[in-house]
Amino acid sequence: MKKAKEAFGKLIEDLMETILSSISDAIIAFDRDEKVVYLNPQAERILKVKKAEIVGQKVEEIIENQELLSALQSFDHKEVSTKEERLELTQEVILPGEPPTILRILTTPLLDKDQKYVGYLKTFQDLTSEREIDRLKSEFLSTVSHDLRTPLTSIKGYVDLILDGDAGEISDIQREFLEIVKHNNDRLVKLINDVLDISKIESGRVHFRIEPIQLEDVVHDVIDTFKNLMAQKKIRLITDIPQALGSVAADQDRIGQVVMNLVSNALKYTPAGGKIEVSLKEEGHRLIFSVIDTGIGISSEDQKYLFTRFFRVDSSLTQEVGGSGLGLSICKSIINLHGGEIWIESELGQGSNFSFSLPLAVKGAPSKLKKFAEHDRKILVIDSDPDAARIVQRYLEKEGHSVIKAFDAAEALKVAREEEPNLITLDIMMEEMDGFELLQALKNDENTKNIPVIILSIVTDEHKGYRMGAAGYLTKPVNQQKLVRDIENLLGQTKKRILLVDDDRDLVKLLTLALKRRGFKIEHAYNGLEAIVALKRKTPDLILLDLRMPEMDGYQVIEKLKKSPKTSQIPIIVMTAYHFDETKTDVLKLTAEQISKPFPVEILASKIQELLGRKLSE
Amino acid sequence: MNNNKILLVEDEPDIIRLVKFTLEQRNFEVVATSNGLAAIEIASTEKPDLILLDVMMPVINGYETCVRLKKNEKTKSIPVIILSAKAQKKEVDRALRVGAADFIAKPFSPRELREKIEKILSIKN
Repeated sequence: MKKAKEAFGKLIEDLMETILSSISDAIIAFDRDEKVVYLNPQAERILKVKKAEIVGQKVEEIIENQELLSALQSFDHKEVSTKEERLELTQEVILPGEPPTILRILTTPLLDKDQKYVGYLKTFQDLTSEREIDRLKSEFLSTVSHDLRTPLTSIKGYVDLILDGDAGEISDIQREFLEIVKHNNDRLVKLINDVLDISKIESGRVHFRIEPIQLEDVVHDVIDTFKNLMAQKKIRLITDIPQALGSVAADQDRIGQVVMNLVSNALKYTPAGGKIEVSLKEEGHRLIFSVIDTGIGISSEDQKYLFTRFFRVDSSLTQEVGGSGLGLSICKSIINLHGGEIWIESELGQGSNFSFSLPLAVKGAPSKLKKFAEHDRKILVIDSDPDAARIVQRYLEKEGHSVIKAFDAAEALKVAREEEPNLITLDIMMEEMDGFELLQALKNDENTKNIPVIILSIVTDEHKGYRMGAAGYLTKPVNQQKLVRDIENLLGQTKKRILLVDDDRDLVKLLTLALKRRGFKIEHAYNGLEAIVALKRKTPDLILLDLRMPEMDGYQVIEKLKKSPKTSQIPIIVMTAYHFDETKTDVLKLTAEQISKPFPVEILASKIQELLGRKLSE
Repeated sequence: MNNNKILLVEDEPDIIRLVKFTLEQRNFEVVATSNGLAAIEIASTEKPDLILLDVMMPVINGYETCVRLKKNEKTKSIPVIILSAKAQKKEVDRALRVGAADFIAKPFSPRELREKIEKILSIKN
């Protein structure tokens, strides 16, 4: 009897061995002392070790590659005691080589039949060829995009020349036919753009630049672009966009694309003399955008397929209007990837109401920071794993920050309240309280809600992080440079930001150095156009502006800035080596100060300080 | 009389013909090359009034060419218009960052191209 049982056990063992050897993933099992108890042949290949050399050993005695080593060891859940607490962590490691090997590593705790922790399992998936295919696909798309557009450029160009009469007189019928060619060429271009766009989104190769944005700004921008067209079509535009709405965590350009698409659809399908209503409102934890038109409406049957690819409502009117049938499908993908919903309410002949929702970011999130002296940057590092906390501490202390640590949620909350750190780094894999809950607790507390929190996590969930009020999100293993830069950016916000615009590069270099030393943050542009681009990225507290520049001169920059409510309040100091143009004195009156080159830097610095001080006291 | 000289850097013969035809009708003189390195040479000897620069080219691409033109004492003040088959905001930003005066997305209408050039060179009709 005992013998039979043993034979059966052996059979199972052999069977397991065969299964584990035949799968393509590499598997390594560790006991509770982190010694290797088993590895399959794929693991031998990846780790470049023989089974006999490593079984019974700790990996640090055998494996030399640091990244691989840290991936093998990064597991700290010995207290896991029930199946429900079982955590599967994934991370990616790139091993050097030609080509480099990309591994996805999965960690699973091993529990015995009493649910007691006995060790852990590491599973490695080789993603190298998968990534190579991704890369080839993206290269292919970019080539196709270029190669398709090049012939279309010729078609459009020559047809336009003939239509413009540049190639001689044409008859009415020739004009009509060429207009058709032109129209269809334009459609084809749009279709190519949409197909590329959707294939990028669906293959996950679109990297959203997620940041807190004000949806109302996006909507206003889009409305501005369509105002003239609406007026031409005699369409009445009604807007209901309240001030001071909450921000959403989103990619501004992509959301702009969605708003643009929906408003342009409304315009397309609304007959002359109709009405379009655009509104924004907060509803619970969501922000809702709607555009209501008085167009032809959509039957409930068609509504079901509206957001699917290449679907176009079949009616004589839409035939005439044209389109790729991809626009709404792209909108849906973008909104869904932002954690929102898109929908339509409509009845045939009654017009349509297109809406989308986006989750609101937590209020009081990181725009206004406490003032602090340069040397007094206190950072609270929250991580349940003391070793992981120590690594972050080392990174930060190297940069001259002082670090306090907390290892559980209750302690973290207490320390955050008492010590009022300038910044918090938070690991979201905590034991008693989920890191996200802790983040919420921090954001709900009057004393701590304005402290910027950077999340460090193995899980990629930026959307959730930003939505809940995080100021930054980094995935583990933490990239030291990235962490330092993010902290710099966040804490640096208290430094006054100056945009320096001058085409004299030597002067720019000199002033940048001199003003940086005086504690300002300097960005520069070498001509007016660059300045406008820089301003769109970030609003400075003050602008230093040269008048004579290529591309766009200082006068034009001033006029542009003063026209927009977003930039009209930024004080401008004009610097010039020439006499001021008498005919432009009215433009110069709009600026705060003028200074003639050459000037001592001290004078400039004191003028800046005076202006910024004045602005602060207002 | 318009005596402006335009340097066109583009590798598609049909598009070279298109641009030449469009501009020569307005008495622009058009010099064309399909190579960024050659373009830098020609720009410093021929001193064109404006350069039209395609992005996707063999040898060095349009952005790289533009950076080099802006670094060169002899050519840095010549306005450059970038022509690109990609029209994303990212591309426009990139063009302005490398010092281009303007950006035109392909496919473009010849009239739009001509008007942009005339505007930059302040030519009145």
